[in-house]
Amino acid sequence: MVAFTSDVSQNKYLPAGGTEVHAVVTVTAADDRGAGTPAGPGTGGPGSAAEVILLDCSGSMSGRKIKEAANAAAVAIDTLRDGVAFAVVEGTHRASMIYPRETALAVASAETRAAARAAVGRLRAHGGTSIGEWLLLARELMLARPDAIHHTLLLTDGQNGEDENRFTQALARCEGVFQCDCRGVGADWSVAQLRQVAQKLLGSVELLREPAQMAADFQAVIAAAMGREVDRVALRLWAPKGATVRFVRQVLPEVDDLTARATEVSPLVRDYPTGAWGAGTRAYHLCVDVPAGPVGAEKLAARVSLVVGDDVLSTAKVLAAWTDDAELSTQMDKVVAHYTGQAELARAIQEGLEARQEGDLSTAATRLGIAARLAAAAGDSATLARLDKVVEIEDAATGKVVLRGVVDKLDEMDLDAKSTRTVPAPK
Amino acid sequence: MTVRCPHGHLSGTDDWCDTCGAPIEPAGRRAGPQVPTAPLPAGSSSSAWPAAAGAPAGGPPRPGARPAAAGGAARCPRCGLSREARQRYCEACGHDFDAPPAHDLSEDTSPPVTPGPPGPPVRTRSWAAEVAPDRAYFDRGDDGSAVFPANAASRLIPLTGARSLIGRRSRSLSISPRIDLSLDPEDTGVSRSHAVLDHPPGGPLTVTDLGSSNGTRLGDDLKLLVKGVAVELADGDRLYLGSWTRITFHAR
Repeated sequence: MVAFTSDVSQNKYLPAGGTEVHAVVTVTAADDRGAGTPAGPGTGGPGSAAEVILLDCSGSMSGRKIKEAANAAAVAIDTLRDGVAFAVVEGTHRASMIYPRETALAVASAETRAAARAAVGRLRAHGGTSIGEWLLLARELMLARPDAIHHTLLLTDGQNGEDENRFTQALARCEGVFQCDCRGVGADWSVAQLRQVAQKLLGSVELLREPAQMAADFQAVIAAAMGREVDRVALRLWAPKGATVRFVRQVLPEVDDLTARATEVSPLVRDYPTGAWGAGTRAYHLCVDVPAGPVGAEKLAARVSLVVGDDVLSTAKVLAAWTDDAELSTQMDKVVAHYTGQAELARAIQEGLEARQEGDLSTAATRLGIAARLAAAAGDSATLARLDKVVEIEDAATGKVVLRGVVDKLDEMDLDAKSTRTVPAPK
Repeated sequence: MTVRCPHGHLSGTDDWCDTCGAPIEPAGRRAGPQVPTAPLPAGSSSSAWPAAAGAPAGGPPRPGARPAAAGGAARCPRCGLSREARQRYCEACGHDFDAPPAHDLSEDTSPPVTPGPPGPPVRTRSWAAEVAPDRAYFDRGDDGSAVFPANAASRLIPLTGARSLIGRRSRSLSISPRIDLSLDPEDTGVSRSHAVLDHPPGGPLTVTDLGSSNGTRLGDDLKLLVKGVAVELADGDRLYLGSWTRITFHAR
């Protein structure tokens, strides 16, 4: 099983009359069986997995891409452990079953894996791209297995051809039913579209530059999905009477704003869905406005728990204390400062790239300069390297950058797709 | 297991109150002073302004009176609300206790107290305030300066603790009223610090207008409250204020 622990980082001191409380809650899920122990053959009981692979088979996939996609799907199928419920779906302007033939999930075994591999080997590219339709078929398949941990892997190489309404309605119907990791291959898909899917369905977005990268990536995604053991975990936030929750956002491993996803449990308690958990660390930055107390008083500003239903997996307390010592109240906690910077970094990259596409070059240079400064301050060398392909970084410490004249579209998309990724706060 | 917090809430958690977040552990086990509870002197059941330490006994504070001593409990010279220890700003009106007294002399808003009837034994009960936009009241005062909100849903706000402020939230003035008419739909005809409700546990419910710009009215005949005078409210009583706000009180 997975054991949860949580830590709070905050400066609890507020000036007289101060109301705004910030804290970062870092939650670590540790696999207490020891790393690498397989979960064992699925029993079909609670906690078993259901996996649907959604493959773009539209006309633009023809040639090397569809061959590599079929190859990658075969590797993914081989990564499914025995007993996992699975299906492979062909996505075009509609969605149809590749394996099994009927609209149902198959149970993974040596025999069904071989049959599924053979079926994906026969794929042909044809037709358009309707991502909403693909997701709705996955939903139908998943609903037949309500007890499982539901995960899908979506691969596309192009932009969605559906009208916006149909797409957002399909997304809304899938929310909470399954999680979806999205992969874009080549340079013709839209980072914003897949990010919309990933954020709604608690997954990730990744650019695959080369079709040949697919197999290794699919294997990693499926292995991670197989490692998830605790499903429907919610972050439960209690704040005192009179308090307002300004925001709750995940800040590690990726920036993801949860504020609008709250469901009210009671007038003072809200749940924010976090999906299924395997071993790993996630951090949440929350900001709560509490009624100001007198100087010298201390009170609880928030109680943050990870829950499954009403079972509490871990809990952490966020405090507020009022002081007239300005030295105490003006200090910013290092971890809060780090993740505030990381969230700003993600926003600066996205806004900078957007301005660049719109031809507003001075805004683009300013925003991407801020991004370079924040990435350098956080010691985030991977982001700096991605930035360096879009701007020439003259001085990272001050954020002085010059836009590059010629930029590879793939480099720009990669910077955008990975903009939400964060690095952990230094210990 | 339930415990009672220093503010009188019943809490299902025994470390911090699960309503207001106040510490429940006994003093001494935790660093820092306890939050003082609101003073409730005997015999003041009909008074909205319980005497506080440091204030002249038997009457309202003199206008412009400075807090007796820094850190000591006193009352706000502007609105008369009792001040908690070492608090810089008044919880009700945002008055700066550290401001020079000359400023206070210009505003004589110290609240006189209407003597109530000899206190009959009061049942312990709790109150809730129902806040709703009221079309009929709006139409009576409609001068075209405000638009009646399309979303006319009502809110029920339990009156916990001993005192609740009616007003509109202001960060700059550090005002966070329990009955906050800045929430959507915002009634801008309500003053930031409009009126205060006193509801000591076991005592009566009273309302005191804090010198609001447009006044507070009681009952369907819209009787205007006198600024600074506490008026006792009964179950079902209605207050009207701002452009359309009606507050109905329910005893529970």
